[in-house]
Amino acid sequence: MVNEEDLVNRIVKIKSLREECFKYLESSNQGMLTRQLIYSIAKLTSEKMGPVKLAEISQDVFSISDKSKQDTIRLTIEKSLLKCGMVEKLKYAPNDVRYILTGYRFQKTKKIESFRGDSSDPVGEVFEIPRTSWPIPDDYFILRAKKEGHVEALKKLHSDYDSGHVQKGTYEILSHKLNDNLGRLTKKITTKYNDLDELVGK
Amino acid sequence: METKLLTVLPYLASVVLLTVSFSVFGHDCIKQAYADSTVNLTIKFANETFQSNIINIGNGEKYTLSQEYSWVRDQTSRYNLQAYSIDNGPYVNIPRVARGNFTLDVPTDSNHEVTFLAAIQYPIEIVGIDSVSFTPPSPTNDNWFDINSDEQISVPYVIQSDDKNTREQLKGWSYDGEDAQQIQRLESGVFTTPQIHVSSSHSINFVYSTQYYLNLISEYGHVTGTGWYDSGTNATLSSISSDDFPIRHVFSGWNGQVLDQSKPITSVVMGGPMTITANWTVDYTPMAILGALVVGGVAGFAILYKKRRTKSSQETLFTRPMVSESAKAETAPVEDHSTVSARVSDNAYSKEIDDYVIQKSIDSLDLFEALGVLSKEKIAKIKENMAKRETD
Repeated sequence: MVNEEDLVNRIVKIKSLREECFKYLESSNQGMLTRQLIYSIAKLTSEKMGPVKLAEISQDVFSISDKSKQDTIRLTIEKSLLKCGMVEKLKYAPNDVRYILTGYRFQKTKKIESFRGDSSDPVGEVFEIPRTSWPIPDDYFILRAKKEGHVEALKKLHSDYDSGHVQKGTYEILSHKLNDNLGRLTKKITTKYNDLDELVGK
Repeated sequence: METKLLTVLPYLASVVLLTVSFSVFGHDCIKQAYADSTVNLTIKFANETFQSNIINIGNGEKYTLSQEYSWVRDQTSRYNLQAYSIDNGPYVNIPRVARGNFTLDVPTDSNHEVTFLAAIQYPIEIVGIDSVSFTPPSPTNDNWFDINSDEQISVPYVIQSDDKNTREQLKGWSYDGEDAQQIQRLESGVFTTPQIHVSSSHSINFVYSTQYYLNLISEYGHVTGTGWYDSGTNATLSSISSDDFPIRHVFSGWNGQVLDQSKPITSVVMGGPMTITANWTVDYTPMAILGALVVGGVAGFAILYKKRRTKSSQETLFTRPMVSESAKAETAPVEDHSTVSARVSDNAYSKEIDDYVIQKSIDSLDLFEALGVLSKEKIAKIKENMAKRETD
């Protein structure tokens, strides 16, 4: 139900939050259960690369997963985080319900009433859930790493050629091969992960 | 006395002259003739879209009713005239117009009733682009639409500027202040929104990204990187020498605001449209090698020919049937030691570069830890996956 593209979209987009919902993220509420749940869902989603079950959240937050703890978590999520649109509830089966964050970057907004109807204005900086808890696919890191490897190898090749350690023919063949691979890697990153790369790769 | 009064009264009645013009709540009437008796004109609005009104008019006068095409309903909507009917007869359609007044000559021979039918309309506000098209179009030819209609809005994916090297490319859109939805970027064509149901006013924001064209010019070889880039992003340029023979062209540098002008692969920050030229120098080495090979070949052939001639004459002289060991060695195909060592060296170097790519790829993952994007545990997992892939 949630594929890699969907996960990346959740990272890339900035989710607008009303002031009364934004408070769940603020550091002044560090000890609050709502904040702990947000961070726990983010961390577990990043590990599993998919939505998480109540039992898993309970185990992470309370180090125990009995029914009363799960009920506490479910009620807290449904009364606050679901209403604010910060968490999404996915029903895989009647007895298989999982949760996932709707976004990883949030913008506090202020409601403005006007002749044209209600609108909202951004307030303050964008808040980010720690990036280590973002569900970024391994494939992206592998592509980026390979790209970096090729760039470094080209630098070495040019340097070795300049200092006469490699023959011209070999230099040309290897340069061509590395440039071809680099082009393919760059194209794949741009096609699949352009917005994500803009965000985390620069 | 009574007789005198009866004689004067008809005269008094006949001198009553009326020329009245008045305006009541949006409709005006103009009396243009004299009258000596009155009739009632009742003006009604179906569905109580406006207050009813009764106007007293002189019998037989020319009377022109004037009604605004649109009037305010509430803070976000308006009414717009659609049709009218006289004395509960069939409705007659009125051309849909946003502004101005609709006028109607009303008969004043007896009491009459005019009923107006009006539609509720809501606006759709467009942000981010000046020109859009609505399907179906607005009945009043503006951005107001009848209630319960379903509208689709179309905008171009690309808006080219006059200078041909700058353009705007559509990258997303949002609906009533919600988060912008990203869309697949296309080079041409028209993006159409899903149907938008008109039951209140709406605001649609189209998000465009300014792009600049990077033009790479190269007389020789092969360059990559030409194309459109978002403003402020890095564009990667690369140049590859072609396999010209016998005169080779070797890349010597870039001419423009690139990060490193001397490297074949470099980047440039797209702050505006750019034209960058790749420079090349001429390398005569292959030609010199070819020349040397030709000369060497001719000389070698001459020496061999001379040796054979000498050998042949010796064999004839001493009638030796067996070929000497030294002669065998001379005639056997010989591989130059320097060529062998160069080939071995090239293969070893290729392997070295391959290993270097893998090692640097794995090392570069640590950068993501420094950027705070990857945890140590995840890096270890990815490194393991990469190493496994390379082994496979």
